[in-house]
Amino acid sequence: MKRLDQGGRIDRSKPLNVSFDGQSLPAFAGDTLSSAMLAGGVSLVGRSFKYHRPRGVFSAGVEEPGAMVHLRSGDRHEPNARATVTEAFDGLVSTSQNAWPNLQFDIGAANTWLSPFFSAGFYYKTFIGPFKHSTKFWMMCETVIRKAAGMGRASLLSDPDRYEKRGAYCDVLVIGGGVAGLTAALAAGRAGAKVLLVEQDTALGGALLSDPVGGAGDAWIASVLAELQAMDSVRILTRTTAFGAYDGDTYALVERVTDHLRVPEDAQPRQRYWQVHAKRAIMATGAIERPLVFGGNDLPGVMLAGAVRTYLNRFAVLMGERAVVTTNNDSAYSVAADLARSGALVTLVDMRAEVAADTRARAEKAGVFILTGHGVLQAKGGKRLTSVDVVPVDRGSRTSGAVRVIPADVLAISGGWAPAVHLWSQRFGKPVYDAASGSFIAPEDPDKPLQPAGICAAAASLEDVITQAMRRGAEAARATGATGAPGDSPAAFDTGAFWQNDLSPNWAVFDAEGRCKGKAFVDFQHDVKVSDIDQAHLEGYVSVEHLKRYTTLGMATDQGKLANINALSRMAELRGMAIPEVGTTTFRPPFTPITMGALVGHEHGRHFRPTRLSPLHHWHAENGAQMTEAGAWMRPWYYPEKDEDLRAAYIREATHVRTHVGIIDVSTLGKIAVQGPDAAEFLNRVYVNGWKTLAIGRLRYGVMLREDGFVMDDGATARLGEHDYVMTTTTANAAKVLAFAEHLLQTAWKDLRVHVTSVTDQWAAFAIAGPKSRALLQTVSGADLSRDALPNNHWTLAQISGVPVRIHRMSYSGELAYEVYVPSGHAAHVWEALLSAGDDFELRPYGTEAMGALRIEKGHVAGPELDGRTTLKDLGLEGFASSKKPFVGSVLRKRPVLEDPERPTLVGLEIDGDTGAKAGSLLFAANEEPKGHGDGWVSSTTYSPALGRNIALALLKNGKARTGEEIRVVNFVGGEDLKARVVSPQFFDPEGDRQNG
Amino acid sequence: MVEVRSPLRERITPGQFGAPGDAGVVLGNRTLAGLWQIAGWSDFDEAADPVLQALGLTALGSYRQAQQAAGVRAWRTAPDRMLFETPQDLTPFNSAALAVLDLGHARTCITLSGPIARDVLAQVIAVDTAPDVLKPGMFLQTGLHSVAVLVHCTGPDAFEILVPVTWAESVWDILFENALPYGIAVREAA
Amino acid sequence: MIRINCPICGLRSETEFTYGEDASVTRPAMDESAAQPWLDYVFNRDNPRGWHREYWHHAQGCRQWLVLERNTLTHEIGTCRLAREDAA
Repeated sequence: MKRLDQGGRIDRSKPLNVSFDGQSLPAFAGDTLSSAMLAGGVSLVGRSFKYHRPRGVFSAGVEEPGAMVHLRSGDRHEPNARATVTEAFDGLVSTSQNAWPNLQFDIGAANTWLSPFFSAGFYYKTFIGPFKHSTKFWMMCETVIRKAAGMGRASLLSDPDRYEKRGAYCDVLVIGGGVAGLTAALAAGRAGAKVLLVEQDTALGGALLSDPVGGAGDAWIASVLAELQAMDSVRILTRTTAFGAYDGDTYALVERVTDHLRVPEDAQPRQRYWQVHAKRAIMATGAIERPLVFGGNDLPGVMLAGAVRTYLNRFAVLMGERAVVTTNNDSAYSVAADLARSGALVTLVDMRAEVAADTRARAEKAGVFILTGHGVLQAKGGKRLTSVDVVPVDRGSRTSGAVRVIPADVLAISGGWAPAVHLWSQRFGKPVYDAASGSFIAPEDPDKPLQPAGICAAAASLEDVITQAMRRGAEAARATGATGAPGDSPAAFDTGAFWQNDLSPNWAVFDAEGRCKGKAFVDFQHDVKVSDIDQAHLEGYVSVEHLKRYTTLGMATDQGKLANINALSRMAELRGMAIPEVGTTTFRPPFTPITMGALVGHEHGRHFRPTRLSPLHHWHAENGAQMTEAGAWMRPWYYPEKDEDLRAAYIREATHVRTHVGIIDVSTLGKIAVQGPDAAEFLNRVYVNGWKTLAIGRLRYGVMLREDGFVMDDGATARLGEHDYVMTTTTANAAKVLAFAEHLLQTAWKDLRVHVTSVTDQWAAFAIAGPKSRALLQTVSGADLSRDALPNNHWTLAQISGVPVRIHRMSYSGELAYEVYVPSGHAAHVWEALLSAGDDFELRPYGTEAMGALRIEKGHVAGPELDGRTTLKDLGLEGFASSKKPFVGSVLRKRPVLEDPERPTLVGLEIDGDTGAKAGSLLFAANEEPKGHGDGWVSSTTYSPALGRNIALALLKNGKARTGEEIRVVNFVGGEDLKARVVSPQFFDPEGDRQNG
Repeated sequence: MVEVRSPLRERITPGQFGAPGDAGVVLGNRTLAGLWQIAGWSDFDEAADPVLQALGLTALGSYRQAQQAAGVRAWRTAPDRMLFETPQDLTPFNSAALAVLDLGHARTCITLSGPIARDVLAQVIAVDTAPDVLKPGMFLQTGLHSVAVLVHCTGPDAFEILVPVTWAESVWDILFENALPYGIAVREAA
Repeated sequence: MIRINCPICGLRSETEFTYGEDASVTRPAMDESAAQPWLDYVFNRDNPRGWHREYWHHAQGCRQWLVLERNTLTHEIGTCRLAREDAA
């Protein structure tokens, strides 16, 4: 292997620092990591997945199964990078993976000798249960096997790079920037369509980039590209892979924006995920060369023929002085000829008996020695190829003569080409077998919005490619409404032997018994051999889908790009069928591996989901509140004084509310404006209680059910005017209640003249609770809030510090309490005014933990009780249900199963001891062995400052009847087993004297 | 009058951020002059008429094209709903036939402009933002970082985004994050 | 990805919508007191192979409930109408 002094599409004036396992590589701008490796004489790049066999660079593209490396280091360390598509950049550091202690001497290579034990179905056979007692043994084996078999190792550090996502909309998406793609884009662009052309490579030209520099192809690209670049309606993205085709004409692309730089600069993203909506798409994705199968076909030095030519012509790397090229089709003839012209001694071993005279003549003229009717039985060498065993073969690919040993340092193989129909298959299912080209292609169907063009549609000549792509481009543009003329086709030029002309079905070389000699690989990445497929067949696997899973063929990161057709060929032979009868598997996204980062974009860390903040959020933060998440909201949990912990703080806060006055931000409550002449009727239907009599100026607590009769939500609704109400919901259910109300109004209740609109953002709300709350609010607002002027469940308008507010009299804490509704843009102003005026009353803020303690003392239900599994009856709320009217859930709540007296119902628990019960603990009778699900569970738990003990709310079978009973409260997770006494859930002031005062 | 406090008051630091050079994106915040919703039923046309007249508008308008009159912007948000930005108090129009709702504190307006504004927008909403599709004067209701917003194209490279105030910081932050590679100029709140 | 042509907002991505429920069932009248019609409405569903009518809510758009035709076999999307204008 050596770098030639001239030629190639590299820039010799720009040398780059690139290394592999500490070895400096002679890289230039325009190189890939693999071309730099080959130029630097690196033949051994990695170890295989299962047998740790030495592997080198096998291809020059995305199909690479062997040259997988670690890139970069530290937090940018990247595993499983394919060296063939990694652009060389200054400062590129790469290391080998999957080898220990090192690449040259790998202990795992012993697996090769153990290979009889790692045959097809190894996992399934070795780890068949039942495992007595536990799966520990399996887990242990799994760990060991994973370590031995693994691929690269991921970094444990968080990724420092930025990733972006964006949408794009076009008339015609053209996937692939080779001759077909460029031509199709040209036709569509000329017709006036909005075109997006994407190419995964760094440059446009596709297969032409593997031709010698300065040929007719280069001129062709330059002229077409110039015209495309002059069109405003055509956008071209290189380094961009279309990896998924989805319903709704949606395509997923990933653009590698700065992967070719050492570090992204100026906040540039590393990669950008594009979600493209294209009315039409053209798939000009070309084809991937298929390997031939024979013993040792994975040895470093064995390479796809097309790749040998790419390295020679694009990267000026001559793979060897002594080359053997073996093929079953014409395409390898230009490889052989180019090698010979570069000074290599080339033997072309053609499995076909006959070759077209001009094809043969061209190669011979270049100095190639041709053996027809011959195949490669085995490639030989240690860590790299040294010689090739060549034998005469018959039509059935069996040896028919003596072995001839040819010394060689490169063996170029071509088993034909497989059109890259992946995207079509992702979208529409299985491709069909085309006998003429011996390949799977997309079936002809002009109605499909995604059409193949060029080699991926098995075009037979360059002229065909261009004609077909022009037609596809024009058709696609016309289908999107473009009316311009596509113009004349760009002229074709002489390509020599084209693609896979004259393909023969020979794909492997067998000995007289029909077996391959040595280890003959079908799937190079997952180490699946011909013999593994044979064994699966012997064991009765007939479906390709089963074969795939049993042998793991095609399941590695290359997703069978090289393996599929050869595996199908073998199955067809074994079953005595034709390939189309055996069928093929469906391709799934992604076409090539995609970073998680690109899929995630900015939606991680604090942008994982949006956060909802109260208008008072910054006040809370600046005043030392510890915040807690409540759904999307951030809420003040507690306001520690000095070094208070949560418990000390909430006990102090709750006590303060019961003895003085406290204020809590309840802006997170859902608020829904209910407007219209039928608003009362609407409320009457959604709430279990009656609303027709609620007067303006009053408010009422309500409970609503789901259609299935379970409790959905509760809250107070105030009547603001003749046709205006404002409903409050729990923080958690606000969105659900609104959507439910909208659904009813827009479907079943279209006759009701009612509008519901969220006003959660319009109004901030504070609850002010405690014996001094009235005095405080009267002082601040100047309003008369006396018992007679504003009884319970009434509201009034007032002004606080120049801001009009609405004061509701209602209590959640059980104390004399008010809720103050303030336009949210004035919330901070009013809150601050209250706190400064509240000094005389010792007003203190309290958080959600203290609020929870207060409501548990009162036995009010909240989220933990409204868990979607509880009924009115379970919660002791049955008394609210009107019997005079139907309401949502009124029939189904009476289902026998929901009326079962055995159902757990709401009770209070007085917990013995100092620790308190954990929510979720299970309840058992005192004399019962704690086993199974018990008689119920603890829903909410707190220390009660008012009672001076730990209490809890719970749902207990037959709850009410068990008042006074001693029960066990068991937390299996924490191992706690507590005693408790069943009491009424209204622990504190059950008569409500305090709140009604 | 007590000043309406922007939910972004603590968030916004005027200055230049992200990629150096000329800022591709200008971000700012504007407090609305007043925001009102009117909603009606099958006779919405008729019921809305007095409001339209009072505001100097002639029709309910389309779901895509915003309407403009002196000191007024109007958006038809649903078959029987409209939204107005106006300093005028529309409460007197509330009736059995027309539900009037003050949403003046419920939204804030994030302004996004500059040569790269459309690209930034394409990164955060799943709607085509190309200049020949989202033209000046057009608006759309969509999700931005999963938050329901109204995006109004106010000029060739200028947008106003009405955002619920409790989500405003999150929306601001995601816009900021997405705009960093292009360079951001953050304007003093208007 | 499902793309839904909202009659108000135009063609949008499914990320803006939430799925509601089967739109082929009809809610019983409010005064229906028998359990069976309610059980049918809430629980009993066909599982059709082919075209299906379903409710979708344009929650991040115009907040309209829509009736969308979707083919459960091919995943094709058919017509989309406002639920309030849906007669069927």
